[in-house]
Amino acid sequence: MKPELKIKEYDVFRGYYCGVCTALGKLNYPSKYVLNYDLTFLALFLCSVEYGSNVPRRRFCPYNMRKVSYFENPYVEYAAAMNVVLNNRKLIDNYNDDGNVFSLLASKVLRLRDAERFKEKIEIIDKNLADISSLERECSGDIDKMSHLFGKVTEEIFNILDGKNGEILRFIGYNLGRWIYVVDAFDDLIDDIRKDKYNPIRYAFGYDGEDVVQFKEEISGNVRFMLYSYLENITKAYELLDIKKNKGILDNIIYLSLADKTEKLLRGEKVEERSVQGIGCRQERIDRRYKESI
Amino acid sequence: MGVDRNASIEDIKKAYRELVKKYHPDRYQDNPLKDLADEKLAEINEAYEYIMENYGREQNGSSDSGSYSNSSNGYAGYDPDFQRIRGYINSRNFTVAEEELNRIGTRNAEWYFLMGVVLINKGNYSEGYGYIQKAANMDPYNQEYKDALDQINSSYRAANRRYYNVPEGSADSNFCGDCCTTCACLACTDACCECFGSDFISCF
Repeated sequence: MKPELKIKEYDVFRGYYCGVCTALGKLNYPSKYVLNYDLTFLALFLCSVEYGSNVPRRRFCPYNMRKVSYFENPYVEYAAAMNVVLNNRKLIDNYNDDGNVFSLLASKVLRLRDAERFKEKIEIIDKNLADISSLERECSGDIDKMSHLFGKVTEEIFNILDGKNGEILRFIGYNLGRWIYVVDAFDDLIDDIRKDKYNPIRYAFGYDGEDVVQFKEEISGNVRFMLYSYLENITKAYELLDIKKNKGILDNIIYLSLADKTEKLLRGEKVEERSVQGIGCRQERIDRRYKESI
Repeated sequence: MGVDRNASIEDIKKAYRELVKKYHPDRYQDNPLKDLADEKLAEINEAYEYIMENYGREQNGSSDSGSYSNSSNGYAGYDPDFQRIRGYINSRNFTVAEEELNRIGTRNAEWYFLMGVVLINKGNYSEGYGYIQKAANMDPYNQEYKDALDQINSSYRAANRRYYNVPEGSADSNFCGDCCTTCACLACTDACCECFGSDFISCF
């Protein structure tokens, strides 16, 4: 939550955001337009477990029309590459869902050129995303399984370090993905039911034509339990991590932002911000979750 | 241990107690990272012992940290099948517990409760919650079923409170403010404790 951050911490966060954006400029320029905050979070997280300089570089940013500070290192570059891969998959998924030709075209533009170096990683991501898609087509209501599969996707994205910290980060990534999946489904529940679109929660709790708001209210105990279970796992893992820098920002995200989002969601306030970037595909909306929070 | 080089013995003890609480095996019981937590706790014990020995005055070492038993919340089942299954659950052998449960035909409240516990430990939180809820509905006077869902993940909220420290602003704390000013605390001690973690006393 931004109001709880110190100015200098916010500047550091901004630096990572600009860092990922700068790295995107080199990897796949158009992807800059779909950059979101959760990949910034990834970059920040990965950098925080290592010592090393926190001295930003400076460059002119045409979007801000001024000089900005940014960080440049392999983790930031990795987060940028993952941003490209994920957005590409979302667009393809979008095309498969509703045959939107614009998504198909966009997916040809927004793609990682030298994807070879992440071959195994991308295979795992694709496999799990495909499993989610096929469950969605079957109108599955197995929310535990689906959030598990999405957790596997994010686990793979967080899978970059070896050893103890690597294991912890993978576990954080896994639970974060599960949390994101359930948050997104619950957030979209009313809209999806009204538009008669697929939503895992609708099938998980057997919606049967009753009042939508009341239905949402009735199941919120179960959803609350799920979400806090994931957060509990995240916190416990986080406390085992050797944080070398940026602890203030990470504490803020782990202890405040995630709880704040969860409570807002359960109170029925809309968590996502629509139409910030025009392309309204499902997972892209998830990725903007941190925008408001940080 | 996160204490100053010149910290007093009291400060060190306090920091030690905080850390032990944080990495206590009970907190990580259901957690795949349990080994790492144990490792961390061992490091803390070692550091504490070292400091205490070298501090020269008191020699009470790690004696207050050695004896953590895995608390198994005094289950009170009588059915021998369920008793056995509880044994598997306590020894964290969830696969066998699930197999045994699937073999049992009578699906009473206890069955749903134990199945719920197994499912939650497998990470199927939604399904497990549903089962325990069902158990609580079937047997509404059973405190064990009622407590289970509150207990399982209260520590994230406690951590959130601890970090937040400033009780103004958030919805939870508003609720607490209300409940304290109206002195209804006795009636909703549970809720209060939940919001404030362990130190709801600080509310007054």
